[in-house]
Amino acid sequence: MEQLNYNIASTVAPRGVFGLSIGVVNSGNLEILLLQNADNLSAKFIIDTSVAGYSEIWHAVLSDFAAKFAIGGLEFILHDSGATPAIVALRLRQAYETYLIASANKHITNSHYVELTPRERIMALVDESSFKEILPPAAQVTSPHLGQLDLLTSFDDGVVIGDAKFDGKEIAIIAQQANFIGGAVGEINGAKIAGMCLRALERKVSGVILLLDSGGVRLQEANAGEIAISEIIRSIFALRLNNIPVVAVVAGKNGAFGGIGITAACADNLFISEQGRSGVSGPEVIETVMGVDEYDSKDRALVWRTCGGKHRALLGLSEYCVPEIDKLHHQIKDALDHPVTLTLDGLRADNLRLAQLVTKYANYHDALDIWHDLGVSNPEQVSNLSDAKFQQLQQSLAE
Amino acid sequence: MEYQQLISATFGSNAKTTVEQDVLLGEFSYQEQTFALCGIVNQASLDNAMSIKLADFILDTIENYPKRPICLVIDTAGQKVSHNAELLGLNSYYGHLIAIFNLARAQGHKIFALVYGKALGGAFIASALNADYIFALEEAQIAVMWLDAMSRVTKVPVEKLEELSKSSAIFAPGAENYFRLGAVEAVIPAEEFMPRVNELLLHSTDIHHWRRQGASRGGRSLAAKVVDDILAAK
Repeated sequence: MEQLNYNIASTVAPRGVFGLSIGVVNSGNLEILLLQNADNLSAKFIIDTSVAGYSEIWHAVLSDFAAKFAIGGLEFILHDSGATPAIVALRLRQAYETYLIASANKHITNSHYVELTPRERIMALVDESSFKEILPPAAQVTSPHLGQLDLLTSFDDGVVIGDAKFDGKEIAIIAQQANFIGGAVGEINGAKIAGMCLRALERKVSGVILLLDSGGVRLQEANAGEIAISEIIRSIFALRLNNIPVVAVVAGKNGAFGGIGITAACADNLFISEQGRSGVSGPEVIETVMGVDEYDSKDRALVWRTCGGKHRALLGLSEYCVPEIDKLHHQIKDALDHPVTLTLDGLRADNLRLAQLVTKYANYHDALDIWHDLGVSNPEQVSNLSDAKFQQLQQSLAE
Repeated sequence: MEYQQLISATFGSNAKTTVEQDVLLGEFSYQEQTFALCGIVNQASLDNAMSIKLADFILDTIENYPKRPICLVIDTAGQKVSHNAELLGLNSYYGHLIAIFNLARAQGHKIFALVYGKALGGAFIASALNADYIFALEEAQIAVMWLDAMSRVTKVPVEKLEELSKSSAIFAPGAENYFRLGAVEAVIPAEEFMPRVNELLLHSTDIHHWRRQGASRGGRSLAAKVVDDILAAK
C-alpha cells in the first residue's frame, strides 16, 4: 500500500457536479471520487494504491490528463487496485465526463440488470429523479478495518442506500456492490443496510427493496459482519411485523450466499433469476469441505440446477425472475402491493411444506430427479427453457 | 461440555428434555415460571430437518403456551455443509426458523440464548443470534471461521491475523470478542444464566441494542454512529 499526492496545474474546469464516484475497487481496476479543489488553477490527486513504486508513471499519466482536459479546481481521490496506466487514463476521463454531464439522478435506459452498477440498478428501477442517496461516496464513510490488513477501502463500503419513490410511493432501497470484496458485509456496510431498514420503519414507507449480490460476511471483519447481518435480519422482521413489505432480488453475478443467502430468505418476497444463485454454503465451499464427488463446483449446469432461480421456484421456495428492468419493476410492484403477513397459521403451513420437502427428498442428489417427481415431463430441458416457456411450465404444474 | 452436564448445571434437576437428531427439546421451571427449552447439541451441524424440528417446537410453544419465555442452548459446528442441504434450499429453512423466532417475540415470548459450546457460521445466525439476549460460557467458541482458514481465504498471513486479534475484536473467534462487539450480554458460568434471565424477564426488550453496547464496550465503534446518521439524514 502506498499513498501518493500530486498538485498539477491545469486550466479552470467548467461547472459540473461534485461528489460523484465511478469505477470499483477490484483487481486491475480503481475507484475515483471527484470533489472540489480550493485552487482553481490546479488539480489535486490523492491516490491510495495497492501497488507501490510507480510514482513516476502516475505523475506522467496525471500530467497528461491535466494537459488534455480543463481540470483546474477539481480534486480526484483514487483507490487503485493495480490498474494499468491505460485503465487509469480511461477512468479519469470517465470521472471527468460524469462530472460534466451527469446529474445524480441520471435516468438509466439499459434494461440488463446484471450489467448495471448498484447505483444504476436503483436509478433504473425507481421513479425518475426520485433517488436520494444516504451516506453517498462523497461522505466517505469507509471501513476502518481494511487498512490494517493492507486492503483498499471503497467510498461507499460496497453498498448504496437511500430513499426513493417507486410507482409514486415512498420506499427505501438498498443495492450491494458485487465487485467490492464480493459484495461482502462488514461493520459499516452492514450498519448501512440495517440503518436504512430502521429508517424505513421510522418513516413508515410503503416498502423496502433489497438488491442483493453478495457472498455473505466479509471475512476481514467477520464477527462484526455476522452480527450486522443478524441486525439486518431483526430490522427486516421489525418491518414485516409492521406490515411494511420487504422485497429481495437476487439476480446479480454473486447471487446471495452465507448470511446474505439467509437474509434473502427472510423477505416477504424473494425473486431469483436463473444465474442469481442462493444458498448458505456456496458450491466451492461444499466441494472444499466434502470433496468433488459430493459437489463439483465447476459443473455449471449442476450448480445452476442446485441453487439457481429455476430450481428454487419449482420447489416453491422463491419466485422466478428475469433480470430485465421492466419485468423486475412489474414483479416488485406486485410484491409491494401484496405483503406476506406473518401469522401462526401461515408459518404452520410453511412448516408443513418444508417438512414434506425434506422428508421426500432427503436422499436425492440431483434436481433432475426432484423435477421429475414434481411432474416435469422433460427435466433435462428445464435449464434450456426460455423464460416464457419456463413460466408456462410453472403454470401447468400449478394446475 | 456434554449437554447433560450443562442442563443440570444451568436448569437443575427439574428440566425435562429429549434429544433427537441433536435437537434438544423440553421445559423447566425456575421460581414458578415455566420456560420452554430447546437447542442444538453435540456440536451438530444444523440441517434442514433439524431446523424444522426447532421451528415446530417454537410454533407449538406460541400456540399452546402464550408468552412462555424460551431458552435456547447452543453447541453447533455450523450450517450443514452438503449438496443435499443446499439442493433443498437450506437458507429457506433458516429464514423460516428465524421468522418463527421473530413471530414468537412479537407475541410476547422473551428469548434467551446460552452458547455453551460452539456457535459457528450460518447456524449461529439461524439460532442464538435471534434471541433477545445472548449469554456465553467462557469456553464457548463463537466464530465465523478459524484464523487458519481465514488466512487461506483472505491471503493475510496467520501471524498477522493473530497479532491484530490481540487488539481488535472484529474478526477473531471467541465469546469475549462477541461481548466487546455488543451481541453477547456477558460471559458467565452456567449457574449464573438463570439468575440473569430472571432479572431480564422484567425488562422491556429493545432488540436493536447491540450496536450501542458494541460502541460503549469499544469493540464496534462505528456501527451505532452510522445508523444514527442514517436515521437523522434529511
